[in-house]
Amino acid sequence: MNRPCLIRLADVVKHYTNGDVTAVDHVSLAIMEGEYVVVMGPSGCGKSSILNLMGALDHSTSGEVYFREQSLSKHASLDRLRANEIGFVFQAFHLLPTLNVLENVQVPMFGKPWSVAERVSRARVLLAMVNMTHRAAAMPQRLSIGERQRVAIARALANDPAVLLADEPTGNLDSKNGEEVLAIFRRLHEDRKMTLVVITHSDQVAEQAERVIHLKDGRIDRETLTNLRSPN
Amino acid sequence: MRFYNLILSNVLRRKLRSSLTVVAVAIAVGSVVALVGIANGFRDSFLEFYKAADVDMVVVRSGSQRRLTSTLDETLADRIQALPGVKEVVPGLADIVSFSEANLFVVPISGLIPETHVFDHFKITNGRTLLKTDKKSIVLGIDLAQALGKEVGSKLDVVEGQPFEVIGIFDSSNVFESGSILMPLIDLQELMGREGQVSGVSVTVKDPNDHAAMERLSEQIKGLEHGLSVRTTREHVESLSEIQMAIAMAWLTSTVAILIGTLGTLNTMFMSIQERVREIGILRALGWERKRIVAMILGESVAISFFGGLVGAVGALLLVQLLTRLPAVNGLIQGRIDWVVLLQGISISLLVGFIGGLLPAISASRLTPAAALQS
Repeated sequence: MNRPCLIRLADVVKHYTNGDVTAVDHVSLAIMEGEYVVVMGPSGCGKSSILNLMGALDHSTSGEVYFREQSLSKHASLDRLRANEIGFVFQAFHLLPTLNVLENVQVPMFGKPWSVAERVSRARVLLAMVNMTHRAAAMPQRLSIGERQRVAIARALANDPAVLLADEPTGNLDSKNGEEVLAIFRRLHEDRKMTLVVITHSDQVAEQAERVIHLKDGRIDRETLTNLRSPN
Repeated sequence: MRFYNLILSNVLRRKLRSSLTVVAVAIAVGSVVALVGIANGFRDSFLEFYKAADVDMVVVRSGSQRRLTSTLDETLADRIQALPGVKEVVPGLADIVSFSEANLFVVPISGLIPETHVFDHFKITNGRTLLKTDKKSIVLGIDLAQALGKEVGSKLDVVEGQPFEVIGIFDSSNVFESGSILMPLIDLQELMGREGQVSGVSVTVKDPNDHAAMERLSEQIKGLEHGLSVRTTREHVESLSEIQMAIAMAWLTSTVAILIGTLGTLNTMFMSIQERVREIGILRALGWERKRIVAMILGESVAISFFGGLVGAVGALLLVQLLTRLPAVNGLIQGRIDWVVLLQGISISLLVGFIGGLLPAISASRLTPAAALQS
């Protein structure tokens, strides 16, 4: 059965620094609902730029980015799109230092019509999912690196997004913590059929994706399908 | 977690910077509360004088902003007394004298008709009050008596070479009266060479609640003579140049302080934004709309300023209390500040917070998420 297209880039170009740097060079790709896609490539090949464009964090210089076939350049509110449909996991975690773990997970929920009790309840469920319930009252500075990334994942899932975009989620983690994060991603993909787009240098991460997009100099070099991909 | 928890945690995160901004706003608000409060107290002292003497209307020469420059014919009082609705009329002459040996340079002196209603509110603490038969006799306010070292029975040269006998000392709730001299009208007229003249006429009406009747009486008094100003006591007090100048100076000085407080808040918030660019990028990436970013920054700014306002208001109250205990100002200012002035001060602190945080808030909300995250 064909899966609907969730995110589509149509001949997208992204220049930086007044056109001196072309980070994304006429890229066209599609991310289907429920797909687990990894984007790989050497440093500076445009991986993060593509992720930013997919996540409506940045605007393309030319071409169009579509979310559920709606052009982002014509979207009524990219902030609301990010709040409701997109979850971000950053390499540097980016937890807010003045809030504890439970509060950090609730930060994306402020735009939702939920009561304080509902927000807290949802946050606790998410923390349980990433095995961080016991650290709900801890401040981010007191967490290990692996714990911080798990909290960041819980936060990214706060509003039950359609897609999780992760920029080098295991880049700062040791192998044990990296595996824990990958296990969480696996569960999200298999159990919740979540769409995942992960940027990584790691072959270990790429192994569990359905499709791997290889970038080079801002262009798609090749795409490979893994054994995990189900026929559609 | 509520939104205001986030705001407060951000404010408390930078304790030193927030504290310095609180101090700046506190000084601004404290200046307003103290200076305007003192100026209003100055005005209220005058009002209390008339209220204590049961005066409802004051008649002075039109165009005279200061009591001392108003000149009326003494016989006007009798003509006003004859009008319907008038209970009592008390003419008075006001002037100032100096006692350089005691470093007192602006001492009010009032010439009034003894044994009239206007003397009822003076509490004689020593000696007796003035009688119509008294000549070359004076009654001193208690603060003035202490400053001059005079007792009942002493002599005082009101004007050089013109000794008067102190026959009584009085206390008054009005700070100016307690530092003044009272003497028979006729004596003061003779002393100052203003025979047949008075500065103003105080009028007590039969029914002060009948505003329509007071309006009619006012018109009738104005009709007695050209160039008369007839005002209620409040209108009269508020028209005095001393009062207007005091209040204007208070606000003028306070405005400078408010400006400094606002600039301080603006600086703090802009610096805060500069340091939190990435944090703002994270919030945008998490789906926070621009208006929520603006609300957060403005909330922080208003919270800091509001606290500064509270500190300033309390500080001003304590300062004024302290000032009233100093010998140099004793009797000149009142120790209480009206709640309206406190409210004005707090409102100004909120305004300072809003203005100081608005530009930084808008600036913060305009950052694109990607650019902010990369900073």
